[in-house]
Amino acid sequence: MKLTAKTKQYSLGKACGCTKSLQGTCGINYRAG
Amino acid sequence: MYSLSNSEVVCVAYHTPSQSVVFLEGDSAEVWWRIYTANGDCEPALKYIRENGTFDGAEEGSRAVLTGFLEDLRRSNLVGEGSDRASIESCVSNGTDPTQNPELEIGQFMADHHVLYSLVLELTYRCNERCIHCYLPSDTRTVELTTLQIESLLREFADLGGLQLQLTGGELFVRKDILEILAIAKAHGFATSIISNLTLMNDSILAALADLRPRSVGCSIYGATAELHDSITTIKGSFDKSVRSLRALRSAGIPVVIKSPLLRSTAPHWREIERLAQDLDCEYQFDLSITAKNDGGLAPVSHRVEDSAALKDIFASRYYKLYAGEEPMSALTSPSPDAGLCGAGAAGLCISPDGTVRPCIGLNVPLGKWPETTLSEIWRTSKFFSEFGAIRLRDIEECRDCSDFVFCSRCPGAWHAEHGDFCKPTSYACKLAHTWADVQRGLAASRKGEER
Repeated sequence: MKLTAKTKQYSLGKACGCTKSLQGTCGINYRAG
Repeated sequence: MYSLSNSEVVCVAYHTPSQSVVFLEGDSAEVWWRIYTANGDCEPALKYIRENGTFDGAEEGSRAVLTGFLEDLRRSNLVGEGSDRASIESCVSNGTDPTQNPELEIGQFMADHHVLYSLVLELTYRCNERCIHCYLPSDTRTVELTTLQIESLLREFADLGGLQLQLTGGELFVRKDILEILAIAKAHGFATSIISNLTLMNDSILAALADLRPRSVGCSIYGATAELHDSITTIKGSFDKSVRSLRALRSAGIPVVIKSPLLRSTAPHWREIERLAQDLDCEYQFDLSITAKNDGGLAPVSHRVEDSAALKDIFASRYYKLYAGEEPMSALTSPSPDAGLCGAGAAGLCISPDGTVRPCIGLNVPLGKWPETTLSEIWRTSKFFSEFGAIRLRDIEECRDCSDFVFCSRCPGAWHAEHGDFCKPTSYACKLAHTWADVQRGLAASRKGEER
């Protein structure tokens, strides 16, 4: 059994995007088909 | 922890002071969940490993697996006392490649499994500022959910698997019960984001926020000077109050993002706002998509940045160098007409102050009214999710043959607010996409020229 917990840093800004909501929310189903 | 219909098990865990998130699958999720629910007692986790793993020496082998896993978790600050401040600051200041957004990956996973994962809760439409571009209805008087109702709503959200919560307004700190609401969010262990102008933040609210350990606090700042910022909020003294609170939040170790909707009068000064954010040790986010009001009013639209030179300056900045994996977006030549419109309702909902349920804060389409209809019922039965989710770019006449779609920060909610149709782009959305594409193509061409 192999157990892994890879942590990633999340960014609050550093990108353009909707300022009304959580960054990235609208990116779901967004760019790729 | 999520047990999905295909018997897949996953966990999402946040450590907000270090702005880190971990997504655990399968056995890793099972073991983490046992450690978490046993308040750090590892016996149930060991039992699971022994029963589900294959080892030469069951006891030694299972302990070695658990020890390695605990070391991973300790490095992630998910177990152990306190956290390594130096490594956290290093991680945060190095930032994250915005195209490698772990939260977006998790959101996409939840959307694929139709999990109600995030909730935007508009606590009030009342506000002590009067921003010239505000998208909220002109008449902000509305019935608001009570503290007890909010407690009940958030309990239902948690029971459905909700983890990400955004509390916003209006200005949420005008609510007399804001401390109680923050305590409810803490009790459920949500990864909570707060959006506020912070002018009403006092010591009690600061203490409650520090106790909540929110995922982030976002605050709109429109200029790096009081004169410019206050000209947008139309409230003298608002800049000084917001900045004072931003400093206090950062001193308390709370992650803060300065949000700047860029307007005609403020866009030329965006670099000064970026510098202010750096000076205040905050992250920075801006947005060109100024939308019509939720009630269809078009007053905010007149404040949009229309000047081509100003737009090109912004689109040439590092914020707009988009990549798809290793590939620059500008190098992509075959847009996919199979892309969906956006993520509205994909893994989350928005609740208006009176309990109206909508698919997104930006998309003003009512799906039902809480508490008359439960979140669960709306999430299970509303036809919106399948119908909206089925719309593809190829279904939109203006988008079908557009070669610049990868540069389009499209917001069907903004289109809907402006002319009542979420399948009809605004001319401004198209202008932004074409300008961004032109700038990026120009930059790519000059890079090729330099390489020769």
